[in-house]
Amino acid sequence: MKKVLALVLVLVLSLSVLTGCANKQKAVNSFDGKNVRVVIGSTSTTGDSYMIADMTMRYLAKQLNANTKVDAVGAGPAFEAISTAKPDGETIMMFHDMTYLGVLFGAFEEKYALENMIVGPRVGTNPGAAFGAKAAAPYANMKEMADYLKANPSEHVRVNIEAGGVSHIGFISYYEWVVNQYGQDVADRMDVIVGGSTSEKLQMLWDGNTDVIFADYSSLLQYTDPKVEDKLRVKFVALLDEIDGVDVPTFAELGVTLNGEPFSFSKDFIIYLPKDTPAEYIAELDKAAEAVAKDPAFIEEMAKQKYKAAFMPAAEAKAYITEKRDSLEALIKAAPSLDELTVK
Amino acid sequence: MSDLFKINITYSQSHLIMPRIILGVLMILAVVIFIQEYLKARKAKKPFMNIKQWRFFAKDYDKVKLFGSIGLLFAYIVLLNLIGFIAGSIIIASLFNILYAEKKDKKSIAICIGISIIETMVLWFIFGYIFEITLP
Amino acid sequence: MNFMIEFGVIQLLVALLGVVIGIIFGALPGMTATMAIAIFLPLTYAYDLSTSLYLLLGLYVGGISGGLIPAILINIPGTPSSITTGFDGHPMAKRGEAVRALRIGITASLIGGLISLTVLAFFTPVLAKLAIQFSAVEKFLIILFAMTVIAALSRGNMTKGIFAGFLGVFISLMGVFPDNQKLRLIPSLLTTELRDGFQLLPVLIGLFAFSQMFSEAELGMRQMLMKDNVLLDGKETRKFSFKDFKGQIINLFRSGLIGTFIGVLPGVGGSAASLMSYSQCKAWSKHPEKLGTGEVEGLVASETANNGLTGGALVPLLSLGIPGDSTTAVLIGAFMLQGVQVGPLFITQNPDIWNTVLFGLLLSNILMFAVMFWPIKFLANIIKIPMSKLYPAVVLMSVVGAFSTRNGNMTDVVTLIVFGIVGYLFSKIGLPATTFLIGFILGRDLEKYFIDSLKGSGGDLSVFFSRPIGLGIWALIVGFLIYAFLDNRRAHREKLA
Repeated sequence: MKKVLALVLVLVLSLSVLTGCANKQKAVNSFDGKNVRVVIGSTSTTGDSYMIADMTMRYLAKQLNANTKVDAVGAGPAFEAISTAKPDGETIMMFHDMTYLGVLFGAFEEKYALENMIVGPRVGTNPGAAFGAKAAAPYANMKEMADYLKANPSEHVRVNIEAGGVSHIGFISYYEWVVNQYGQDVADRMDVIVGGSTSEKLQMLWDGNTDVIFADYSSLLQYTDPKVEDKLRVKFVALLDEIDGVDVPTFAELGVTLNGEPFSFSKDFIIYLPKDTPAEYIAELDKAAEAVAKDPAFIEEMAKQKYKAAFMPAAEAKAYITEKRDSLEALIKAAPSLDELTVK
Repeated sequence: MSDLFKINITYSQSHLIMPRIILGVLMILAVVIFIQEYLKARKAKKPFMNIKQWRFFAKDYDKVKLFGSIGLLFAYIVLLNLIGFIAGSIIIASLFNILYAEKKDKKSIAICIGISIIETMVLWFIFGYIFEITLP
Repeated sequence: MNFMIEFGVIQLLVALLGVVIGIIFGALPGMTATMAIAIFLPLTYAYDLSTSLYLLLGLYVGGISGGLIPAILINIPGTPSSITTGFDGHPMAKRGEAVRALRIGITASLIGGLISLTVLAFFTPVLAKLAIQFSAVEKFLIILFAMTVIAALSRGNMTKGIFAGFLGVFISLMGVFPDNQKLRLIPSLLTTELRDGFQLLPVLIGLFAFSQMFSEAELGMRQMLMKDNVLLDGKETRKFSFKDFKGQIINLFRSGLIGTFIGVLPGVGGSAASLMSYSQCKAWSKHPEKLGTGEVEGLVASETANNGLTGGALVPLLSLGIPGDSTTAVLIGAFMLQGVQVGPLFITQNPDIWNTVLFGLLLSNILMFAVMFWPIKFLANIIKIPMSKLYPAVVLMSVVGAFSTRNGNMTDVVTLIVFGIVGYLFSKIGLPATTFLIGFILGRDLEKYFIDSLKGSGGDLSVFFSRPIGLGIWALIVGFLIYAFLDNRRAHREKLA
């Protein structure tokens, strides 16, 4: 018995030593062989955040020879993770514009500002942000929705948005436009309902607790099929940006403007890293991300979901996203707070 | 009247509604428990809040094992941070086994350490190595 | 019907692998079916959809079923949904009927799984329509109804039980409120660590495993969990027989259907299923006072319900594209990655995959039974391990489990220890840790649906009484509370007499 025990011990110990060594042999890059946790700002595993992060990381993991794991923790926990994690390349975040919008809107604290993390390379964009309503709704798009409110002074329309999200910026730009074109009275009858993942939003739409929801184009698409029964069917009422081959009016076509320019908004999916991450990590990530974005298989996989592979190196991405943020600041600062928008 | 059945929800304050309701319920329940205990004590003709006769620990309780367990657990956290999962677990599991063992001669201590090493290695191998779960 | 199911040796082996690993994850405190599926999801790229479905469904069924093993043997629920399993299963094991209890649990699991599979196969479209009738108001009431189990469990000591339950709710509210991202009830020193409050798994293991360990340590660590003299020549006195299920037919169906139905409702957590089933079992029982002392009835109610969940949770996933619980939320990834959209058109457009799911679920349930029923005899010997050797191993496993709940967060390990001490203190001052835990589990959902209902109604509380399904649930809640109250008074009188 004792001999067997000793033998097992020796085996187990030598095994552990061996694998320990194997991990430390010639590192090609700083991520080589590491377990990299990729947090995303959404809890859904069907939304665009997860899908894009998942696709990207599968290709990126091969480039870096690392083990990546996408963790759908939600916006708050993701920001917390990226601002407190050690800068060792083992925790990174991949997320869209909500990263700065959340702070700009005051939905998240200042300590999560872009300045407190490192902006890495951009890998792709998703133009497919869409507003949807029940198929039976008495308006075909969001312009008609405003017309409808104008014509029916007792009606309200409830719009579901995510605080500090892309839907928030979309809604307030629309809200400003309605105030200017139709007057405050019509705008006041658009009530905001905060919260929810795509599946929760759909349920709220179905059980009549909201009238308009905001979600990713591809995740709502299947519900718009004419074969879907009436109760569940959804129709698109507006897009934030053009999507190739999709015939739904965009905000720009409806006449919604921002700073005098036609409003359009695509989500930029950027990799973020903890503050003080060494520069060589970023350079390696740049190189790997560029290779991924050029991979035809990756481009095709993205296109299937109406996403675009669009690489931008870290330095450029930082300047780009900071400018995007600053251009939206005035609009956001002038917008009424959610406290006012949610009151009925 | 209908205003009685209304709770105004202000978005920025909505996180406080439920905690307040629950706190209210808890306070009411605390008062009820207090009264119940008081009545019970009076019925049984015992002094209320019988602190003198109430003992927290069981009679002749095993101080070493109880506080040893709690102490070891906190030591475990410290060790995990200092020397990692494998070494920390072997040390703490051995100490736990030794603490709880009835006999404390050389042979049983050796067995305790042996068991701990095997347990730790099995756990590490299955979860840390095969499934790649992050270990402390 | 055109049955096209890909099935062969590889699929069988893959399903078997899934079931076995699922059981291991389910049985280890701190590891869950959700975690097992999340780990294996990336592996499924290598397979086609049907093979990965066999693997994932196996993991799902195995993960839910494995939880009964530690619940019965060492009174530590392996998963949150097996809390109620220990109530009657563990007393049975302690009086020397471990194998019998385990086999009853396993059989009940199989039956629960089959009931829900039948429901899934034949009633999915109907149930999907019903599910979307349940808005935040109804869900709030369902959670409230599940909370009535607190009253059922605190027989003879109702006020304290309810107090502990609400205390659990209160503690669960600590941390950030997802709607407006504001922190509450958190000391400012710990805002980073406790941003999301305490995690369920470490709280659960702390309250059960660690507090038990402290209590035993206080008494100097007895030899074994089982009383020494209950075994006859090392053999169990009562053996499992299918006659144990005599008189349980109604219970089986009631519990299986409750489990399935809770699974069908998206956003109502899985643990609500076994809790509700257990309290209903108590309400309809001929001798409710015996429940909790090792009654077959209670064990059956709990295990049938939590396996009933599996088929139920797949209903909204496959027919609406909305996951029914946290495990199926991960499962949906497997479909997405293979380019299959689950949603309202899924079943009509993908009859092959739909049949594969049904068959895979059936196969997993049968495999689960086969893998567990006979070999469990050997596993049952765990109960004979001296506690002085058992608890150190439990400590190691729990710490690994707690640490991995959120991919390596030491806060969760501290939570584990803190709630171990909390549970120990509770037992000293006569507050039940179980009702505290139930409050803790249901607290966040209770809040979410309460606030969501009010958001929809503009703050008008009458919304809770304005919907017909809601009124029906109210009737059930009130009826059950009256019953529990009267039962409580009877218990008092018995005590005095």
